[in-house]
Amino acid sequence: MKKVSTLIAFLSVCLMAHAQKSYTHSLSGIKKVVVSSNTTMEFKTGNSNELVIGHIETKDGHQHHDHNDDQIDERAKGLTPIYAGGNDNTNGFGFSVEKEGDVLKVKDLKSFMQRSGLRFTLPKGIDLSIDTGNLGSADVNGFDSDIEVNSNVGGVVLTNVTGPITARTSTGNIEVVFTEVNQTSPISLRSSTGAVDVSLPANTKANLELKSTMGNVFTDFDVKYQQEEGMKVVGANRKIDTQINGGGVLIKLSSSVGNVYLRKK
Amino acid sequence: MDCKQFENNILDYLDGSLAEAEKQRFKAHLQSCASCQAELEAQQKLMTLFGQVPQETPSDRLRDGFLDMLAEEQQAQVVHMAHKKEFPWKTAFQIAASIALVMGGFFLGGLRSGDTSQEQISALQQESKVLKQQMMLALMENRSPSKRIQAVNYTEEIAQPDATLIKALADRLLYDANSNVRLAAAEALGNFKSSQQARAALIEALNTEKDPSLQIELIGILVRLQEKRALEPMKKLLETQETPIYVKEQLNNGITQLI
Repeated sequence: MKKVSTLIAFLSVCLMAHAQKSYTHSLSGIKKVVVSSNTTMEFKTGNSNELVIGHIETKDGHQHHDHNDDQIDERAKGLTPIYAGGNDNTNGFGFSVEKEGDVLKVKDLKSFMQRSGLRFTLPKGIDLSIDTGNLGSADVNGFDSDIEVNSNVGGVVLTNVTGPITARTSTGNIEVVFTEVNQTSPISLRSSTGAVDVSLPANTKANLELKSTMGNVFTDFDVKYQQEEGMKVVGANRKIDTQINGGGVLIKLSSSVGNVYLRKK
Repeated sequence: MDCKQFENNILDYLDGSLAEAEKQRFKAHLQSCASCQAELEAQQKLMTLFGQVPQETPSDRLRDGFLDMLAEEQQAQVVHMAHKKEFPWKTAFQIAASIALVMGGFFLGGLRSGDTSQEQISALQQESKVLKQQMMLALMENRSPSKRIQAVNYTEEIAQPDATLIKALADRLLYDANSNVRLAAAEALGNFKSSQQARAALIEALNTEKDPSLQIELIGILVRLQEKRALEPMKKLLETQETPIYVKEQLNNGITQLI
């Protein structure tokens, strides 16, 4: 009898651990997902119309575990964890997920100390708004939707995207590789002290606004200057305004202290 | 075709430059998606508004008036020829009077019809301006920051912004959650050199803005505008401990250029 109850207890612990490995939420009727977390975040595209939150896999194929997943706290038996940021409605996964109209708000309730990397899998056409808090970073791959990223210290890497994109970091770098450039509305990438590094297909039609207040702007695109009449206040405006391939959607890249790089892909 | 591709194809579709196969897929999607139908309608409306304001054409009255005058003139010529030998003062007066009348009528008519069509045109222009502005203001509330930046950038086309528009831009500058939108609003307001309301918003933003790179942009804009009232918040910012060193550098630079 004792053996059986031990077995049941063991199985239920296994099940709990399993339940915490990923969380899935349907995205039917959802057009935009707003995510905030303080950890390293990866965004991948998936084929089903749902959001899957899991842990980032290490190179040897194992998943990272949250730091306190492995420890079962005997004292917490019969109690549920509660968080300052809101109510966990994800089966102990530590997220608050709320639907507002056609927007799904996904908020990480755990601190960065308790996380070691999260992977979000979503359909490629869903609009994203990502807030990496103070220390988190974002790595987004393969989305052809409207993407917004706000980051402080962590870097922002967007690969195989089309825009429109709005990204902003304080010290982190912003790296974006476009497969093509959506012409419907502007692309705006800004960093205070980090670098802004963008690769575009060589035939991209765009109006460029490039600016680094204290750094340099580098490019291999053919940039023509419009000489302005008269003297300007020195240092007041160091913006480079130009067009490539006859002009198109506005692409605005700027860094206050860091450099700006614009490359042909 | 999904909603995203549909949105990308709308302009080509309205231009009629969509390939046949694409067009079929476009129509198929249109039938199945209510939100895309609304989007297409909105785009169509916008295109119509942006289209040319009708050209001023003289009214029919103007042409009729001219033909009448021509006929009178011909008649006068004939009459004149017939009584060549003795100068017919009475007829001459009558002709002169009728010509004067026709000419007077012609000019008056021309003037009046000109007035009304001018009025109509300016009314139309006014209407399209108001509609354009309303769409712009609505777009400024869009949940996509990229769309909000687009709306802010549209204001560059407006030479004489009214108070509502400046207020909308000032709201973006001071309260938008996305700092890229705030930056676009700062730049747009910086273009309205003669608006005191715009200048006041920029100075206010320098007092409240916490984003260092935006602080630098604001300093740049206010220095370019030679706005002396910015000196006070700039000095305050210089004395604030949290201000990063590279912002302080720009502040020192700016203050010397303003004094």
